[in-house]
Amino acid sequence: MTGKRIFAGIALLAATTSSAAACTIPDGWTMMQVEHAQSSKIALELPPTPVKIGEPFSIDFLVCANPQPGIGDIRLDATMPAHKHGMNYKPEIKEVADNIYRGSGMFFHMPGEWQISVELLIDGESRRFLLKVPAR
Amino acid sequence: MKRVFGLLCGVVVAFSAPQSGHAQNLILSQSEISAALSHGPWPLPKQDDPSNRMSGNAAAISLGKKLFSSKKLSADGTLNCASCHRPDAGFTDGVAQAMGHTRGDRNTQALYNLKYQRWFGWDGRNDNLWAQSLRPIVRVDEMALRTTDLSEVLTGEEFAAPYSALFGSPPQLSEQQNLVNVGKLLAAYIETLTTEKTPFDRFRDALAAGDEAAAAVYPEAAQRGFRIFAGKGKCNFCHTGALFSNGEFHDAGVPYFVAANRVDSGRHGGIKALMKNPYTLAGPYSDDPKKTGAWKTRQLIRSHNDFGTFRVPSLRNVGRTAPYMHNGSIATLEDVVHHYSNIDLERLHADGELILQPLHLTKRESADLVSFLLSLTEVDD
Repeated sequence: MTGKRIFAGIALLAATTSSAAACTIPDGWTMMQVEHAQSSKIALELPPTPVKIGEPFSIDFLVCANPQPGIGDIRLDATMPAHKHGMNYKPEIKEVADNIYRGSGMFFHMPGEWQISVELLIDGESRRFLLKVPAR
Repeated sequence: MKRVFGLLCGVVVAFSAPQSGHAQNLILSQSEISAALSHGPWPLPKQDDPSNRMSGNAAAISLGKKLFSSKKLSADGTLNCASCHRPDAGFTDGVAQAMGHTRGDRNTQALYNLKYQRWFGWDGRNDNLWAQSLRPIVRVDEMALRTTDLSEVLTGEEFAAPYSALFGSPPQLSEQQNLVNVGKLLAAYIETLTTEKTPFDRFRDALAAGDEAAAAVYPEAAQRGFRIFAGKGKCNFCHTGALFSNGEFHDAGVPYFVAANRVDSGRHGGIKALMKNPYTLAGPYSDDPKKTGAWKTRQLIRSHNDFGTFRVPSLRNVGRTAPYMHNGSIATLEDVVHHYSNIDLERLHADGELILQPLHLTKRESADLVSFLLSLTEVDD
């Protein structure tokens, strides 16, 4: 599968007193928004946008968390909030390096604003991170 | 048919020269020009289908064309592919619902530019063209040929030599393999059915070249129509790109009841059929060891929202493919525009997409939008 790769780094800083994996956000990365107030921080490296519609693409994302979620506890999705619909395909996620995952089969079928979401299930708690991305 | 021809004559007159006594101007804004550029360039690059080893093969294309017109592929020898996909009628049949051995529920789709599609059929039950091509041969309401009879057809005088040269002797192949081979031959031919540049494409090319004078030859009515198409009409949300289709499935507010107690489930039923389909890109009959494109079936999301949705057709050559919609229920392009202009939101899925809204177009706006749509049709020399 060919397509653009969007590299997203997600840094998650735990708010607990337990030791947390410190994540250094690389220079030039963009902070992601978190759905609910928490001490987590998310950063990503944006590719050239807008994302081309009608072509599958992959997203690489970095997860720093304590504890680190298993691959089965990571969800990747995207929706168009203005239209109230999501993608027609479910991305496949695999670990490509330590704490780096690749979501393949992302597919935007309409122009406009999409919202990518990454959800981590940690200790029974959902932590959701959002990023708005234009598609054309 | 006569009405379509009359419309096309109007198109030739309208697009062969600027309207006399009226200077044309480029009236689109920069953002509208950018939107126009997204619908090209045309034609798209040539591509062969790796899942079909006959794709691009001249001998296979020639044999596929013969098979397309052969009534030997129907059980009673009365039907061929061209019975519904008439070459002289835009590869459709000009009627609301296809008539095989019985009348079907759906409109015959045109066969233009299929090699660029992602899904096939109104409900996308096939993920490749050769699987879609073999289906009508064996459907009891279409050509109804039994696979046990296919070997006899292929060993007949007309097909024996060219078929054996490509695949080997039919009796030595399984019934399924012969059926798949015929599907691949038909697909090899159908892939060659592509459309040429249209008046819109020449307009787009002029815009891309920054040639405002050449762009201004494109009638202002069609430009105003494009402004609606890409603006308040939001038509380009689904009718995207060079094909004027995103290739996916949507609810356009067309009823999906086909009888008092029967509905057409559209994509919902198509996905069910796809999951049981042995002829997918991931399956054993694909010639592609890399299984290119198989991801879309593997990763497909199934949702109740798929019910009553149908594949967005390409708008290329739309002036030649009346009537319209999945059930052929809308007779003319003017009626299509009227449908969207006055769309009944009650007919849309309650929890469906929030895209379509009644446009309440004026008469002039409706005429402009039709003018634009007609500009997506090839002009006969």
